[in-house]
Amino acid sequence: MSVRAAFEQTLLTILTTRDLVAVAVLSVLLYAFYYPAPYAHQTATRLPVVVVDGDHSPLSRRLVAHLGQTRAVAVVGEVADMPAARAVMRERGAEAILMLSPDFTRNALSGRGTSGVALWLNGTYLLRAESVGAGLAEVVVDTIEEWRAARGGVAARQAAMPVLVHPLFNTTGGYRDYIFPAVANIILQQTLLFASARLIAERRRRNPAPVRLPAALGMWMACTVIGMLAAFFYFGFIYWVQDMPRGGNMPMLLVAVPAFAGAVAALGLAVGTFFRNGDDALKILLPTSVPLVFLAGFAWPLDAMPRWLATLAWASPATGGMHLFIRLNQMGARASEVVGPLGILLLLTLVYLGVFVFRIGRVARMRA
Amino acid sequence: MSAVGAGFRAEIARIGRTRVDLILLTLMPLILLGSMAAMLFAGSPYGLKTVIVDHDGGALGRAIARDIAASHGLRIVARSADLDSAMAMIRSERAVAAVVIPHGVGSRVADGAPVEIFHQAVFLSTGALAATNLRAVITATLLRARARDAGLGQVAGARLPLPGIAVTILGNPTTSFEWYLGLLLGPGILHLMIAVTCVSSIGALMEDHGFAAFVRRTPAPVATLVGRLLPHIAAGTLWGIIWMLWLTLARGYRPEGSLMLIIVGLVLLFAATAALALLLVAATREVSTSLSGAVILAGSALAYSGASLPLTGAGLFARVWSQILPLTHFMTLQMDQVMGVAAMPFLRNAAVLLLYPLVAGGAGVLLIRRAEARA
Repeated sequence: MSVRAAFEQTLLTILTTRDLVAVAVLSVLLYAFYYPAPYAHQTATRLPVVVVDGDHSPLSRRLVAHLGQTRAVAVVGEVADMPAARAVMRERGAEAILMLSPDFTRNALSGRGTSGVALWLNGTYLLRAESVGAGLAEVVVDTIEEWRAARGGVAARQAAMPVLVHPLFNTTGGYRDYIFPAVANIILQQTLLFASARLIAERRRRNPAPVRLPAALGMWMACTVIGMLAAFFYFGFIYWVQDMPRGGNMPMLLVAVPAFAGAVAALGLAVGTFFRNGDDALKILLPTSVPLVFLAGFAWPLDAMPRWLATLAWASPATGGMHLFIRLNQMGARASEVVGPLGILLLLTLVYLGVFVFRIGRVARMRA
Repeated sequence: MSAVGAGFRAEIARIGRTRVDLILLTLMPLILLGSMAAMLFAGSPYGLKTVIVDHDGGALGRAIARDIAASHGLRIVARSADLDSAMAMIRSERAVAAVVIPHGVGSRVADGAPVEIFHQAVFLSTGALAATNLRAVITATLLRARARDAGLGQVAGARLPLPGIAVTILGNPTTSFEWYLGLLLGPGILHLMIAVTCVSSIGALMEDHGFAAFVRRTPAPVATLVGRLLPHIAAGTLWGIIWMLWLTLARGYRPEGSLMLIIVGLVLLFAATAALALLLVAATREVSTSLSGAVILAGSALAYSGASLPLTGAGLFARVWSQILPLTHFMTLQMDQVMGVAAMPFLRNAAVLLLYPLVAGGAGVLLIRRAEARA
């Protein structure tokens, strides 16, 4: 079979086989909306806080009022002391306790205080705790600054916070804009991986004729095209619909997307040769999704992993994809700034394609 | 009970014969959880790469750079003359953050120009951690210099620090990412794994895309189904316990509440997982479609659990769907025990998890019995 005939037949098989079209097309569509949905609101809002006001001063009352006006937290009540506040937390009625000591106002006015304000945060959800903590600290600082300024005090904020922080490429620090561009690479990888592995495993189950090199290349090209269409659909249409940071370097995407899709397609086809039916391939590949997204360095940097693990992580094309597409789409990286991951994806393509061609020939020879 | 036992023994034998299922219950959890354990072993990300753009070049600028270099969480990878080359390093991920030290920092020459931190926020957890560390280190250096200068009577001694805020982190006092992510990843990975093996187990009972033959030839089909699913619930729980023992005994983290109640939660989570898998196969009578369903229910369950971003401000679909997924309730139960809670929140979540075997499992059994009645 020629490359072209195998290419056309594979495309037709994928698009007319229910199980394959479900994985390669419908899942891509579904996850484009399903995955970002729990992060669409971007930041933590209305997290319940209980207040222990030991000061009972105009300043402490103003602070509690300001807390009630913020988006990040909601004051769910004021209690008399810490045991009562801890009881509210133990009943899961609050995520944090804000305690103002009896000398809160005096400390605030004198500027000496380090014991005026104390926060207890539910740290089990660490990122949430950081968010609540930062939100509460900001309100406390603002309220005190305003109070002091009204009394002719100095411009305290500038003195106390002589450091400005600029988040880049996701300027609001939003969760959807952080998580979805990273996870999109895993969605694109896993859907194409499942489809191409299933395609080959099912072909093996049906005991087809031996696959020669041109036919193997045609199959790989067809799977690559499916992967490319899915990637362009995400980076173009879905990122626009979801209003993600995007479009940083569109011309380079034309080079990067085929490299990524080619590597994933080759990996899927190679993996498929190890299975005797499509369901078995799916069963083994499905549980890898969550570990692969983390191993790609999405929440834990590759530099902080053991070297052997970080090296292994690059064997998953999603790792290269994540560090390639986030740089191009969100950071607006130039070609010279993505050489590393692009090179790795091209290398993976060659290796996995070689394994696929070798394995598919070997399987056929074993059958013969 | 004998039918449950017979189903249990038959399932163990089937798993032994089925290489893929055996791998899924033994080797795969070992590899996947092992890789996560290795990934998180450092406790928290460290050595976050920083570029220094020092426009001052004076003693205070050097002190800032020295203190950043001395911080375990940070590492200086370059010193650059301009922000453009620092930004290029951030875009190519050779750096996470850049610190710009203005000319005359800490003196009147700076004319109020602040030290600026530019950090990438697309890998937010890493970027934000770098920014937090940098801000803490730089603020401490500046305040130390200011106090020293004030003592010498040189610089604006009238500027006053704001009241400090004492922060106590309950349930994770060392703010360890390993403890936080470990608690999410272990159950999250096992949840999907057990959903897949349960689909495989129930799928193996089908003949001609139906359960009629299974129900006809099995004296007590419901008890047999329970027996068939028990090895998967036991395997999930066992791996969950191993993971918790790794985090607690080997790595030294401690829940404020009860570890035993977390283990009870694991049993309930995997029972719920098995029940949902049963319902999926009974409803679709297709292994491949059920596997896709399992991914939708279990594969993205961490995202909907609210463990990284609370769903209080999310849309209606996300909030409702989050409550339908069992992992949400297990995560709440587990994290509550890590922080230490009263009995009622535990009972509430345990009761919700118990509903899955009753409702989803019951519906699955009903569909299977109806298939037999129709046949």
